[in-house]
Amino acid sequence: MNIELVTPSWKQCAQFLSRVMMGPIVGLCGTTAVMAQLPGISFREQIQPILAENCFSCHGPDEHQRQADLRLDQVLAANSTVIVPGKPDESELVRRIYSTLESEAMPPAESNRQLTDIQRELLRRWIEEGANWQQHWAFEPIQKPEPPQQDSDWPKNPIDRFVWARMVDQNLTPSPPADRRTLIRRAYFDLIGIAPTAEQTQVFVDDHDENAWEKVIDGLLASPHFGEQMALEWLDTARFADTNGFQNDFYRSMWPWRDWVIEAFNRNLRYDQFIIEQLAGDLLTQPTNSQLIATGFNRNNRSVTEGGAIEEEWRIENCVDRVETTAAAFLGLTLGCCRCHDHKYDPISQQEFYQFFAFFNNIDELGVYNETRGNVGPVIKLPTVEQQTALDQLDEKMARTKQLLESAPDQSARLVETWQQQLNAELIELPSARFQWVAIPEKLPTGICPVGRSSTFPGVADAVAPSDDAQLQFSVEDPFSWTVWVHGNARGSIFGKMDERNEYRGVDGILLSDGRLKIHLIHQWRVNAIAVISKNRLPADEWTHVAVTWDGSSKAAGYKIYFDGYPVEVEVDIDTLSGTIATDVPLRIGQRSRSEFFQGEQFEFSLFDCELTPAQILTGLRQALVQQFIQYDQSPRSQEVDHGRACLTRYLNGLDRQAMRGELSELITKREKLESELQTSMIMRERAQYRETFLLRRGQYDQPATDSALWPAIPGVLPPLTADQPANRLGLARWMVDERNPLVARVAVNRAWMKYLGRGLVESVDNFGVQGSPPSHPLLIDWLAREFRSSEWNLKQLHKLILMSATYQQSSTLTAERAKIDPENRWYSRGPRYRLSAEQIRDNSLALAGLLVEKIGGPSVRPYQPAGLWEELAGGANDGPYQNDHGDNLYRRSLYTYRKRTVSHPTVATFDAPSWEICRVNRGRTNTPLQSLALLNDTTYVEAARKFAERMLQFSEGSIESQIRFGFMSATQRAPTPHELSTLVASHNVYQDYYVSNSQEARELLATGESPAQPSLPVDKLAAMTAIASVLLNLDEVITKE
Amino acid sequence: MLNPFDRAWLANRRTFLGTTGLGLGAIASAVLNQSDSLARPAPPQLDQPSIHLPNFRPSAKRVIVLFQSGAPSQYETLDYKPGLAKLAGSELPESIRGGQRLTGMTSGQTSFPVVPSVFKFKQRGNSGIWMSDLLPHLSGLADKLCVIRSMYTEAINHDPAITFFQTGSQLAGRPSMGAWVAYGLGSMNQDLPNYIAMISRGTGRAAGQPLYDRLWGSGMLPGKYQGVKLRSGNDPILYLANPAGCPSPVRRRMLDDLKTLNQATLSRTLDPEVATRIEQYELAFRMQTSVPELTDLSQEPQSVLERYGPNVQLPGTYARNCLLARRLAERDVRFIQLFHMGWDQHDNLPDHMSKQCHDTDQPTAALIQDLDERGLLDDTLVVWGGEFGRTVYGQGTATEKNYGRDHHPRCFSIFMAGGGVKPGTVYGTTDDFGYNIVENPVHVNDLHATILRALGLDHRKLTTPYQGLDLRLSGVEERNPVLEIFQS
Repeated sequence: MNIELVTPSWKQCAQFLSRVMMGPIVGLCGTTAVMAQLPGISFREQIQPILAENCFSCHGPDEHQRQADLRLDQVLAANSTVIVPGKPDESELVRRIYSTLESEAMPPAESNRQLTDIQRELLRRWIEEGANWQQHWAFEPIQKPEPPQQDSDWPKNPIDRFVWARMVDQNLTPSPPADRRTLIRRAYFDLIGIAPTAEQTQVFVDDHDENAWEKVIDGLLASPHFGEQMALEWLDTARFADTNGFQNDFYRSMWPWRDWVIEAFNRNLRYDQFIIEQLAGDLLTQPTNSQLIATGFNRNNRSVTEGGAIEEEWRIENCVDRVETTAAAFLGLTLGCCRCHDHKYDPISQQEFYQFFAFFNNIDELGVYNETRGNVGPVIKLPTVEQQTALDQLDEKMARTKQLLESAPDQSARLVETWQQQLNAELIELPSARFQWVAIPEKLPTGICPVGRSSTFPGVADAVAPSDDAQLQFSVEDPFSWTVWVHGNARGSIFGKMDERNEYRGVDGILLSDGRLKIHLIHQWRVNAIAVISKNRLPADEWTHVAVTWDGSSKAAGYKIYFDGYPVEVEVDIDTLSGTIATDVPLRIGQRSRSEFFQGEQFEFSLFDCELTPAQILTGLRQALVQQFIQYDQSPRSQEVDHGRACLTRYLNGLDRQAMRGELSELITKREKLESELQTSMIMRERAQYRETFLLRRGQYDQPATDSALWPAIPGVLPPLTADQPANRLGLARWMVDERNPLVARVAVNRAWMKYLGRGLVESVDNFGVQGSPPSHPLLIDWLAREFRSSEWNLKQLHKLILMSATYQQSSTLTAERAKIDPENRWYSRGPRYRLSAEQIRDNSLALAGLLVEKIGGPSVRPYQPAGLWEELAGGANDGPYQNDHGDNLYRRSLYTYRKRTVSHPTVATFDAPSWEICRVNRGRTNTPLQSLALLNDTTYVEAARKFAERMLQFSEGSIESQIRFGFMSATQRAPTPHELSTLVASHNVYQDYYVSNSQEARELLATGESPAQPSLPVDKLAAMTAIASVLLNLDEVITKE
Repeated sequence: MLNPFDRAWLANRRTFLGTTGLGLGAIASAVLNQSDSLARPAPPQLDQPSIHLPNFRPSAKRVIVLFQSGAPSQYETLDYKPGLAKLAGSELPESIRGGQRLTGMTSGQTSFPVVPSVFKFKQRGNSGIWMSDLLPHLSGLADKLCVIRSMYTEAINHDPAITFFQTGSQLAGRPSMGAWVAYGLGSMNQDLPNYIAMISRGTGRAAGQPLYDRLWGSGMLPGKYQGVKLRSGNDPILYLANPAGCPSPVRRRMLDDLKTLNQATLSRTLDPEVATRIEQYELAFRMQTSVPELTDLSQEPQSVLERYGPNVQLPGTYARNCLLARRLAERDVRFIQLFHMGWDQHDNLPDHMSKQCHDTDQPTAALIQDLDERGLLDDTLVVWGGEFGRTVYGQGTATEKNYGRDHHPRCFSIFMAGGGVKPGTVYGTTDDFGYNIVENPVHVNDLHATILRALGLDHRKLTTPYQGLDLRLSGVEERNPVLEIFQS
């Protein structure tokens, strides 16, 4: 049990209780005697933790688990007999917790929970004192505490006053300040992720200016690598990675978002803005590209591309992930618990979970992007300057060409006259159509096409009735043809006689989303089918006459496409047809049996049971055009005739300017190609049509409680949205940074504190709820939160405040006394000492080796990785073997190492980097033999050692001792002791002897890694020093922040 | 985060630091000289449950999970449905299917024709367990097996289902079974990792389902509990081998210097982490000997090698991994996990299942027999199974001789052997279509509880605090170990 104390007046009590707890077992009488001397009991610090730990799971917020209709997480009704304020002996609770009867003792034996004697006594005393009840501290408004006044010259800023007060409570005194070498090393790692150079250290050691430290801090906060170090930590929270995760784990490119984060920290973007842009940048008025990129925060979740996965199930999982991540990252709450049931500890119901969920339930995305590689929508396109220039040039050319097309003189009459003569000269017999579909104006709106009235299809199912001609069958052996007029902006199936439920058996003709025509003959989709696609797109905004002919050969070569009377080039996608294509489903215009609903205009679909010849197609088309032209000429003028004539004239002139149209379509193709090469980044975007949210029973996607829709709202325990905060993500984001929000600032300062001191003021950094740890310094966390907010959420200022404190600057050396009183450094009576992060260890080694490449941003890179790791796991749906980059990309900061979610990069994973599958707000710090093996044997570190050795050898020629001393100082920022130095020098001589007589081995050692060995250095010397350098890189002190 | 034993250790250490009136140097050297400075006390005795973990008497010391990734069909292996032959090609009655959700792969299908197994079944051994001809070697060991025909799961696609099987949750980020066990029970071995995973690729489906690091990961438990992948190449454990040109004597001297210098750091800082680090370097050095010794099969008698079949000669095969599993069990590695890929027979099932079974039947039987002959089967629990079952109806075009089956979460079959489970028994029953469970359902989380129970662990008590909950392998719902399958 932890006894929490706030003010110095508690000191006496604390010491007494510590003695009680640490001493031999104290009997109940003894305890009571102790209690009798104590001042009032604090509900929040002493009682609530006992209740939360032992009682809430059955008597807490979870309605479904609640026993005996008793709730101990709220103040009880005045007439309750469970707790009778001031009268413990009449309180059922007291009777139960002291009861020895198995049937009534609380907590019950099967709960595996048990109260200690002290806890029982505390509860009894609390009731005796009136059972005063308070809300959980973190949900209360942030207080405005004054730093305690003390008679001490230790504090350097208000932080220290709070820390000092708590130390005094614990009978602790601060550690002496860390020496300057340790201190500057600590700050460098914390702020830019690598150690200072020997020169940087020396400058600070020799700087006797009063503000020498402040200069160091200011310099580091202004470094562009500060943003990288901060981003590294934020990326864990934001579960950023370079792949989709799940089964296929395809590449995605979200690095523009990662670079946004680095840049945001470097330009010290206000933290409130940092939140708003990431949660809802897309909903701001006229958002900038940068603000849109920021919303990638909530697109970093994993996404499913596995074929066969269920769409709605995974769309829901995306939303749940966003709820959990957003709640953990900004609010320090574990909302995920309420997905299936009411929260067991925090006063948040399942319904409130889904109301929060509703903020994220209207994203314009799919749950499953079936086997799709790369970024999936919505995305933002991010052209480079050069790409933008090229795009602009293309646009300009296209506009010019279009204008030329429009403004050229009318040639239609001349064209019609020529055709008329040709048609009269050569007689070509035209077959009649087996089936023809004519528009029914009452069913669908009509438009105008070059040869008559077209129909406009709405893009939904069953726009027109299926054909009732049961005899209408397609067969592979029998030639057929079809012709139709379609508008170039239309999409979907022109017609179809196809059974999707039976492996897509049948025939169709589809306008793809890019305007190309795709035609199918299918027995069984993909394995037994023909699929042919036109290479050209239908020209946008124009009408095209389309003809398709089939020769009955069963080969794709027998399937031909004509645009405007002339054959076009095609791509054969599939050519495996051998079975029948006959199906009972009827022929339908504007769709297949139940998909690809046609949207746009078409006219006069005609089906022929022969293979039309090119001459027949051209003749048929020209005849129709000529007839129409004459008909308009002979008709009295009307609006319809004028429209029709304009349309026909436009079409005829278009034909006449085929070359120009070809040029235009080439430009369009070029532009599309360029577009497809643009870097994109996934962003948030709302759906146009609002999607309602329902509570999902047991959290199951297929069990929505559709009787009542839920609107986006904040859980009732927290302040609600205000009138000026819309009930959408933007409102949520503004609410996050609202003055009334008790959590966001506290969570942020706690995270900053943990970054520097190694543990949070609230130790459970991911949980500020009732089950989380209470703050060790409740006043300090509130004071920091206030400071942070009143500084206009100035992050750098917050960091500087902590760094300037005496608390941060203490030595981390443990003493026996501190080990006894404060083994976990809960009271900050010494500086932090713990292992560096995975990235810091590698980056620092590269820096010592002189290999580190300081470039910021850009696509992720692939440093060394043992062969075979991807292939071992990937079943074939994957990216193939991992191939490391070469040159600079081998030595970029680890922040940029490619993050494949299903196969972690071992160089970082071995040192506790997460797999970035879900939000993690703090990393473990373990100590394993695999880490030892990695640091000794990983190519990364062997290469770093030999390049570090080169630097040592080049530092001074001649004295081994001075070279090793230089290396030692570079790695530790301090001089070696004589014993340390002599140990290394002695070994160096042994290694050198060895490598002199084994020069082949020396050469092998120096061949590790891709950077060449310095040829001027003798191999035996270099190999021997490599062994020394490797020992240095492995030292506990070198991989530890002290 | 500390496991219960670390907590105990830390408590002792604090007491130790707190009560001795020794100077710092003395404390430092005392810390160093503690033989248990691996941050872990001596392993608990099998029959002496720790007071920190209210335990049962364990029936197993170690576990070998032979995970058949991709989901083998129960109809062709362990769940005999003689009635299906008559119904071949007929429509699965809607009353049986009962609105079961379908994967996106068959949800477009209009017809669900019943497909009987093309392989014959026989009753095997004295116990008379029905097993198919695809498993001839395992059939010979029927009297050692405990078959469960009533497994079911919640997920319908591979990734979530495999993740669920290994970690108790469909979503990523939770500790795997082996990590839980390592966390709960610690190590019995001073020279090898406590939890080893091995991977092999089946011959049945070339591009089978992928696997993921998370399947043997430690989730939110400390990274030291994660499974170590034993690989088939020259470096069976990542970075195990010294770099070229760094021979053992040089390395030993480097380690000696590291120790000397790190000891100086320990004396200066008194940080117990330094002591741990010193010990980890020594363990790493020992692993450089113990792991090659583990993977060196030159001392295995020819008769033993033959028992596992010819593939045992090929590193990275299931057969080789089975033999390594036995060698790991002999060395008291606590949790050994094999993953064999290639079970996902949406089509060409008869051909592909034959190949998969050919990969696995003989080596699995050899492993069980080998363990048995060495007296290891008594306290080693072997578990064989996939992530879900397959459908009774055919996927795509089914003929008498060739067909495929889709994913089926409602029931599937696994078997266990050793570790205190009743040999020669069958637990659970499915209906005549093998579509629904009619008796003794075993949820995947029940299986987790059962495995923990065999190790003497109460699944409700093996927890770690996470996001305000006591997270456990068996999930949040009420789950129970299948006590009926244990020998009394």
